[in-house]
This record gives sequence, structure tokens and C-alpha cells, in this order.
Amino acid sequence: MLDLPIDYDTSAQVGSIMGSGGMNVMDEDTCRVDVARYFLHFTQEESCGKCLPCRVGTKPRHDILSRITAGQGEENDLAELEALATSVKDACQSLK
Amino acid sequence: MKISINGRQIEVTGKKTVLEVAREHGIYIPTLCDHPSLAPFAGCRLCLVEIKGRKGFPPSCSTYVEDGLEVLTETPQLQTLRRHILELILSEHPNACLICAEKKNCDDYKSTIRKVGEVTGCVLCPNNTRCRLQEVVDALKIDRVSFPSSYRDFDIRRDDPFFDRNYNLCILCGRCVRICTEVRGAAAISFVFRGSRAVVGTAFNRPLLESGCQFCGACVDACPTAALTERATKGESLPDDKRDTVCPLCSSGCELAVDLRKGRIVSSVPKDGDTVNSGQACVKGRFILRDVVYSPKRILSPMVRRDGELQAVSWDEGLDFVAQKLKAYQGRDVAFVASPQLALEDSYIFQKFAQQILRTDISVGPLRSSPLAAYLEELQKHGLEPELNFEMSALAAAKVILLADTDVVSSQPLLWLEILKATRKGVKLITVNPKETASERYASFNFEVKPGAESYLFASLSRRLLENGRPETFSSIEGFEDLKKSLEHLNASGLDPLAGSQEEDLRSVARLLSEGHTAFFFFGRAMIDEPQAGASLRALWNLALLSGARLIPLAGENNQRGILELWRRTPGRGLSVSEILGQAEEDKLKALYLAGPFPVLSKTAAEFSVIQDSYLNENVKFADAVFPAVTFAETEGSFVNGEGRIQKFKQLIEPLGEARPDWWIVGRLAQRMGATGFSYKSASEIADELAKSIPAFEEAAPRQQKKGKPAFVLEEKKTTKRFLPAEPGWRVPEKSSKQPLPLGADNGLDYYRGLNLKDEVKGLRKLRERQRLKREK
Repeated sequence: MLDLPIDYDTSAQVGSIMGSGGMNVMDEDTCRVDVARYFLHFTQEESCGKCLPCRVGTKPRHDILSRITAGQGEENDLAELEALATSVKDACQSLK
Repeated sequence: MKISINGRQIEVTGKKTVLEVAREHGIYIPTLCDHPSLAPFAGCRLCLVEIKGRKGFPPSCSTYVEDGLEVLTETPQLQTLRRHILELILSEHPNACLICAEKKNCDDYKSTIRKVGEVTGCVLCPNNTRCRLQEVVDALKIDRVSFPSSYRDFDIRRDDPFFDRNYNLCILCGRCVRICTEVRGAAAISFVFRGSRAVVGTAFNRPLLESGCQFCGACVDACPTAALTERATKGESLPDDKRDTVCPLCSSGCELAVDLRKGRIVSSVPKDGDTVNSGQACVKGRFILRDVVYSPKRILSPMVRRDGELQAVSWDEGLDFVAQKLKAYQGRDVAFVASPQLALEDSYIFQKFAQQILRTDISVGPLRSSPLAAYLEELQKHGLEPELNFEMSALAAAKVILLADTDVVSSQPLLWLEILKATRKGVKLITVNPKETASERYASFNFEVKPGAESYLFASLSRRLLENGRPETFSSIEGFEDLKKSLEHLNASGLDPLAGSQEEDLRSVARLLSEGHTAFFFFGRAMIDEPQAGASLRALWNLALLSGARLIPLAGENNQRGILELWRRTPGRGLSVSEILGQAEEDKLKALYLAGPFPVLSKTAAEFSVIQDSYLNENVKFADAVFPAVTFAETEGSFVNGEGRIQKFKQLIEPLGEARPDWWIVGRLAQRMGATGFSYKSASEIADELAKSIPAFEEAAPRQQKKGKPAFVLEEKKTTKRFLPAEPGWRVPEKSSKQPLPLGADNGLDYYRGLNLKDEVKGLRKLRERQRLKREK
């Protein structure tokens, strides 16, 4: 992995993405839920706030993930998370 | 174009959005951020639809129709999506009442208690039943919110006049922000912060008063929730009636819709749809109409002075008393002052009364400081009868607009909106003012000139225009050679009152004006208040002729044009207000009948004086009799607005106290003085007579109003083009020597009959103070 060239095509080939050029390196100990929570926090900060679903919809998802990472997740959380994620993605202009 | 919505075939013409077409055909698509006066925003995402062959869910408000579009508005995915979005909105907005299972019953059993600090539910909300959120929740049948509520806990802003801002109820649809910028050009508010912290606010969170807000109320009317609420209506119950009227507070003649409850005015908002004012108003029409009608200064009973004291009497007693006394005075002994703020019908009866009974002519309030009156007078002096009618909508075709000596933003806000629209389409705006004005920021060229030096500027422009103009368009006009000669004497480098740095602007403007574009020149009060008014006017007239522009004087009061037209058609002229004062000073005036604005007197002006007004004012202490007249709200009639449009207005409420319409009072008085022909039963009867006796007012007749075409004062079509004699020398005054002006002659026209609106309404006073400070800075 370490000898991978840093460019768009190669990143895509191995199932990664090239964003602004920054790189997040994780290993098998990294908690995926925690990563999701972290990125949702990031998205929330990055939202411009024009479209309602993105402005408001990131918050409950972040709350759910925070709860899960704190060990207080509920069975229902997963379904809700998925439904909400789909709605926000479908309803917002920049995510198409 | 053919499209299909939910399988229905629809024929579409013109550039329209999917949402517009759906609405036209009765297909409901929920939306919160869309507004008919605003560009598509697509922020609330409720109006999403599915379009065959397109990815995702495009918002119907910002998707324009194309041929062959197949639109679906009610698929299961869309329904789920919309429910989710609306639930998200509700998670931020107090929702207990919105989704309550008992809400139907609640309306019947709970009294309204809206005057609360915090709105926690619809029953406590001043916007209950008018809320767009309620409408959408009902349409989507939302009965639960799956997301936890998050109350944002903003402080409620109550530090500005007229309305409160409670952003806890805000759904960030942006309608207020957009209307303030797109329609009103004020841009006082904006989105502040971003993402989940986004909120609507002013720069540096200052009060609106300090942020360039004109308090037109457009944002309040655009708000779909109660985030913005008119303070005066907060404690009011819901209105039970709605009637239309015409605002009497300036010459725009805005059409307003008035909410009433139990025969009382609750509030007034601009009427929707295709109106003179295109659904907009200004601070006066929107927020203070009710205060005008219900002012504690209203005179509610006829009064007669007995033993030095004014005592309330019956109408019979009062009328008999005045009729008896007035019989002794006729001709030049007596002056009758009429108001330019009353209906045409009242003005007509005033004139008839003055001519037939008092054998004199009416004097009209502060007409002498009206640009319209000054313009007419100056041109008539030179044998010209200029065209006065124009339609505000004509500005849409303009390429050049010049504003001289006026801050239309505060004095003619509705005209300003049309000018603003024009500037958005690329019109070159030229402003000429002695002081900084709010319109300047939209101007392509701004000339700051000393008061009284306008004629010099216009002559400078004329001279440059002659140098690069197209002579065929103006050289054949009478008086051209004289003008040319006089301009040759204009020494551009000598006594130039214009800053030298403006030379380039002068050249550019002259070039622009010489290109033969459709141009409109407006001028305001400040120009004709100067002793050099005549010279400025003639110079501007000549410049307008050279540039092929239409010159339009700004009218002041709502019926000023109407009363001027009456005046124009009578041989005699009443004394001006200052002439009356002069006569009073020399004890030549015997009787004074004041039914219009007049300066505050310091002593008795005549042996016998009568005041007919809606409000007690300082001159009442010198009056022998006082008659209570109704306001516009308690009567019907017609106004002629600044365009020359005849506007009918209807009665809103019953007269307060013993107040009576002005035509009724003077008519009854005439009858008691032995005259016939004054026994009118209604204002429309008078309108009929007026239309018959003065052809120009033909369209004022009630039956003429039904044609569906706007009614106008009829003007003789004649082209009067002649250059007016220019000043021999171009003097630039050192200092202006202004006379104190009568009530209402100040810039903003903030008066109604005997009421000074700034004294009466604290909010207006604060706003005007702020605007004045800004100008004098």
C-alpha cells in the first residue's frame, strides 16, 4: 500500500478517494462507527446551510452515531440512520 | 410546449417553472421558500419532483419547463422524502400544536392568548391560521416528528420599531433576506454563519434601524412563520373581515388590503396581485395607517367657541352657528384652504362652495412647494401645457433615469422600486443632489451640487450635449438658437461649482444623453424650494428636450394632482398660504376656513375662523368653530395619484364619533346658507357631477370604473416643445435663503391632515431621524 502513487486514478482503483489531497490512514484498530461520526461532524461544519435537509439533517445522524460510539446504541438506530441518510442525499443539490 | 404532470397532458407557453405550471393546473406541490416576487431559491427542498430521464429529485421551483417533460409529483419515494424533510423542519420549530391530535378541537375551545414572551405552540403564535407551515403540515398529514426537538434559544429581538424578530420560529427559507435584497434593494438582512448555525441577521447583529432597513414590512409579509411579526397586532384576535383601500399618505396611491375585526382596523398590508404598487408598500402604508385612523387627537364632535372656550355641540347647532357667521364675509375678505389629501369629490365640493357661496377661490395647502405645481406654473407662464400623465410601468423601457433633488428611497419608495428594477436591467441612473442620498449606491453617475446650483449643472450638460449630440433631433425646436447662444456664455472653467474631478462624468453623461435612449428625468422638492427654482426648472426642461427625455415632477400628497387639475380649470386662483399669512398680518383677512394644512399660527388670523379637520392641532385654539371630518377610512371617494391615475377607494369602517365626510359638512353648510345644488347623498353622486362638468375627470364617474382599464385624468394630446429662455448669467448662490415651510412641506410628507405622523408614531420618528442623520453625515 505504501508504494501507491498519490493520484486520482490509482486511489480509485483501490477503492479510495482523492479529496483535497489530504490523507487519512487507518488500521484494523480504527473504529468505523467512530470514523463515520467524525466525518458527519465534519460535514455538519462544512454545510453551507442553504438546503434544509443538509443543514438540519446532519445533526440527528451525528447524535445517533455519538450515542452508538458511547455504547448506548439501540436496535432502531440503524434503520433510522439509513433512512435519514438516504433522504438527505436524495434531497440535496450538491450530493447528486 | 407540451409536458405531462402525473400523466396529465399540459400545454405550456413561455418560460415557466414546473411549480408554476403545476399551480396553474391545480396540482398541489408543497413548498415553503418559493415566493411569487422572488427568483427560485430551492432551499426548503419540499417541492422536489421526479422527472423521467433525469437523475435524482429536482426541485420543481427551480426547474424550468422544457418540451416533453414527464413530471411525477406524488411517487411513494417523494412522499417519504417530503415527510422526512418536513419532520426535520419541525424538529427545529415548536411543533407540539402542529402535530397535536386534538388541534381541531383546540381552536374551538381555547381563547387566543398570543401576547406571550415565547411562542411554544400555534395557540400562542400571532401567525396562527396564517402560517404556511400549518398549511404544509396539514397537506402532508404529519402527525409525529421522529427527530428530537432542538430549540435554538435565540433572544427575541424587540429593539426595533414596528416588528419583533423571533428566530426560534425561523425555518431559514430566506424569503425575508431575498425580498429585502431582490425587491427592495435595501439588503439590510442576510444569512449569518453557515451550516447548522446559520441564522438570519443584520451586519454585526445591530438593530435593523442601524442597518439600512426602511421598515417597509416586505420581510414581515414574506415570512411564512411568525419569526417576523408586526408588534401592534400581536395581542389582537384574528380578523373577521378584509377590505381593500388606497393609501392616502403619498402620491403613489398604494393599494392595500386591510384586516378588520368587529369593525375596527387591525392592520394593513399591500394588496396581492396586479396592483399599482406590485404587492409592495412602505412604512407608512404597512405600519401606521391604523395609528392614523385611531389617533387620540381625533376630533369627535363639532365644537363652537362660547365664552372663550370650545364647547361640544350638535351638528345642527354647529352648522347654524357657522352658516350665520360666514354670511357676513365674501370675496377677498375670506380665504378657504383646501387639503390636497382629500378625495377628488371633497375637493370639488370645496371649490364649488368657495366659488358659489364665499365668492372666492380655494387656496391649497402647501402646494407652492410641490414640484408638480411649480412645474405646471413655470411652464404655463411660458404658454406651455405639458403632459403630466405617466405610468410607472413605463420605466421598464427606460435606458437612462435622472433623479434630481430627491431621495426617492424615503420620499417615493414605490417609485424607487420601479427605478431599482430598471437599474437591474442595466439602466444608467444619474443622481443630482446637494446631499448624500440612499439612491446613490445604485447610480452610475452622481453629482453633488450646492443647493440652487442645479441650473448650472444642467446647462453644463446641455452645452456638452450640443457638442456631441445629433442636432437633427433638436435644432428645429423653437428657441434653439437662443439656447445655443446662452450656453456659449457658460464659462465651464470659471465659476464652476462642480468639483473638477467630475469633468469626466459630465462628458460621459452628456454622451449618454446624446445617444437618444429612452430617458426619464424626475425632480423633487429640494429643487423648487430654492429661490433659483425657476432657473433650475427651465435648465432641466431644456436638457430634457435636448436628450429627448420625459420630464416628470414628483407629486407630493395623494390627491395633489387631482386638486391641481381642478385648479387648472378655473379662471381664478386662491391666495397662496404665504399670501394669506401676509393678509392676516395686515388685518385684511376677515374670515378663514381651514380645511387643509396651514402653518401654526401665533395669533388670531381673522375675525372669524373655522377649522375642519380630523385632528386637533395647535391652530384650534384660535378657531371659533371646529368641525370633525372623517379620515379616508370612514368614507369613499377617488384620489388622483402622481401618475394621473384615478383610484376609487371604499369605506372601511363607520365614522368615529360624530365625524362626517368633508363634502357632507361643506354641503350642509352651503344649504344652511341658502344655496341649492348641495344636497348630495353620496360621494359617487358628486363623482358623477364632477365627471359631467369637467371633461378631464370623465373617468372619475363610478360607471366608468368597470371597464377593466385603469382610469386616468384625460389630457389633451398636444405636443408642446419649445426651449425656455435660459438665465443670462449663471449665478451660483452662496447660500440658500429658505423660507420656513408649512406643515408637511418637509421632505418626507409625513403628515395626514392636521396630524404630524412623526409626532404620532415613535417608530416613524426614529426611522426618519436615522435617515436624516445618514443624509447629513
